[in-house]
Amino acid sequence: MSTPPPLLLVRDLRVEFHTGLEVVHAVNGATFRIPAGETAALLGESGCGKSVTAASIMRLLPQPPARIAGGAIHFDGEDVLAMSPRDWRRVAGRRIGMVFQDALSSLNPVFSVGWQIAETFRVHGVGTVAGRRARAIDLLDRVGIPAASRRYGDYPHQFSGGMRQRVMIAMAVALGPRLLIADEPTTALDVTIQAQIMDLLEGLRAESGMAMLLITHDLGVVSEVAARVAVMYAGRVVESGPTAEVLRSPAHPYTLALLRSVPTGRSRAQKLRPILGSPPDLAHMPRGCAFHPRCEFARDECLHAAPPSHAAGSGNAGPRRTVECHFPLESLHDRPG
Amino acid sequence: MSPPAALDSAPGAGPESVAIRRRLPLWRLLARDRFALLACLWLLLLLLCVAVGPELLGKSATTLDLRARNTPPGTLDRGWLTILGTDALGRSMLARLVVAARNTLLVAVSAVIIALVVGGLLGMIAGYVGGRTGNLIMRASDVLQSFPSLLTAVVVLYVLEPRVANLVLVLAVTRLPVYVRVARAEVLEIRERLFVQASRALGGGRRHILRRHIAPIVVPTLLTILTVEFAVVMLAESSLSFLGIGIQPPEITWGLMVAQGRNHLSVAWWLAFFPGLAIMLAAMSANLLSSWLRTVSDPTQRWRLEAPRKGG
Repeated sequence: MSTPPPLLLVRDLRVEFHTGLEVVHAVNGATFRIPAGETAALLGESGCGKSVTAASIMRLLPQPPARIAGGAIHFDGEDVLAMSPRDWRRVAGRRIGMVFQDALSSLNPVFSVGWQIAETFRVHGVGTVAGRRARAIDLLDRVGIPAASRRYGDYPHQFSGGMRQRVMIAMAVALGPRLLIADEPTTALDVTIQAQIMDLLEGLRAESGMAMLLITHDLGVVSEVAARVAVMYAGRVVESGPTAEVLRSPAHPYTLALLRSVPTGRSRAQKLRPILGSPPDLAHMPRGCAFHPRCEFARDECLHAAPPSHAAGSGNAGPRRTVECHFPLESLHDRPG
Repeated sequence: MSPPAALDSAPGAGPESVAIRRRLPLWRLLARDRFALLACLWLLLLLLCVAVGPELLGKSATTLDLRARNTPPGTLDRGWLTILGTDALGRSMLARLVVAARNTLLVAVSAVIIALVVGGLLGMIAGYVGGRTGNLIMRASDVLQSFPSLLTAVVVLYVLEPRVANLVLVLAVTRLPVYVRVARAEVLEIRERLFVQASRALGGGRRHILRRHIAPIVVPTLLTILTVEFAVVMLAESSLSFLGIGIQPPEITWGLMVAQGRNHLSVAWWLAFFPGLAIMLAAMSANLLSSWLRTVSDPTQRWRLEAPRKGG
């Protein structure tokens, strides 16, 4: 098989937080990959390790208390975790960009937005002062800020939430990265703006051919833009595959439960079914399958043994679908693909 | 909260929907704040005294006139120089105040600035780098702080020569811990903010983050402390001068004048009062001006000065 290596490969990543009294296992062997130019989503409820995974890729975790206990992160064939801080700074911002959830606190309140975008170029030693300014105005224009040259000197507090997120996106794509990590980019925004921001992100991605890792708990957003989805639970990727396929026929009970807890809007009579209980305490994980206390299909085996991983098909760089469950809802091997 | 022009324009809205904000020049903003304006004028006057005071009034400040000892203030009988009275040797208070401004302000200003720069840097490093370096800096600062600063100064100045440079150095070093502590505390909070993370995600290094993201937020706080410390340092200098290990007579400072005037407080209150007033006014002006400067330099606060005042 001559498949190209994926742009981003996260293999068996383990991240722990040492609190002094106990060890919190935030990520417990997460594995996923993103081929170049593709949009992948990391889906899961709060506290399942999505953001910690993203922070690990960007080497943003404060160590201590965090510790990367195992696994590997490869970007473009290079081992991210083994890079020297100096080498890493050439990757961060230049080849991987990141957009955060809360755009107001992600912008420095004492500098104008234009200055902050231009700063991205300055940090990486690109262009002259005038050239950086022109490129920053151009970027503001590209992310849809009206009258960009006049808004250059405005401060973050003079922008609305949506426009601040546009500014953050401008900073993240300023140097034409090959991968954009968007950590819940629309969570802090209202619904109409959410759609605009997702359109903008998707447009920029298609235009530049970069890949995107979208971290979200919003199924609607996932189904709209992501080619592949990885569902996370308690620090593991419990199911992954092409978005349409996973959402149409989920193989993991957790994915099914997530789908059922979202209103479809088709019929009024359909009752929403929330997932009972809450995610496990990551300092005291249940034995066996981490989802068994909340799983309606749980049997004895689930209480004692960690679920095996089933894989099916081979897509571009890796198995087409994977699921970690003793009793997957869909027999993956039955499907052609 | 924010001006109306900050509303998100609908896609396709033309540039006419973006209001043009005018920025007033600094001097217009200063003119709008009466207290800051007065403070600024007073400081300019003091600056003038520092620049040409001793040359202009140096002679009158040292001319003895034993017949005019302890003349109360408010009379012009002996010329305008005695408007603030005379001291125990009949020297003009006004002239002495003007002449003393140079020593006083040079010592105090250089001491607080050295303390701010060194203390601020150490504090920021302690806060951002942390670990062993941070601990070392903080413990050294604790040691410095737990020593009574006057005692430190006395010991050091007794060992070294009581020269102006040494005096400045001692005053600066004993006031360091305040800046170190405040800078460190601020950095500990700021470095956890998301924009610092964002900067790291964009490839910013340590030095870049300290200089571009942390310092601009820490420095205004330190400047506010500086203006308060300004008065403290002037008084500390006066105690040292009083003990005879600070500025040596016949050189004078306001603090020294207060110290000397204390002996005559029951018969001639003006001897201690006017130099004391000068210290207070200088410190207060510095404080007012710095609070104005802080407002102006903070983009989210500047509008308070730009907005038209209520009632015109």
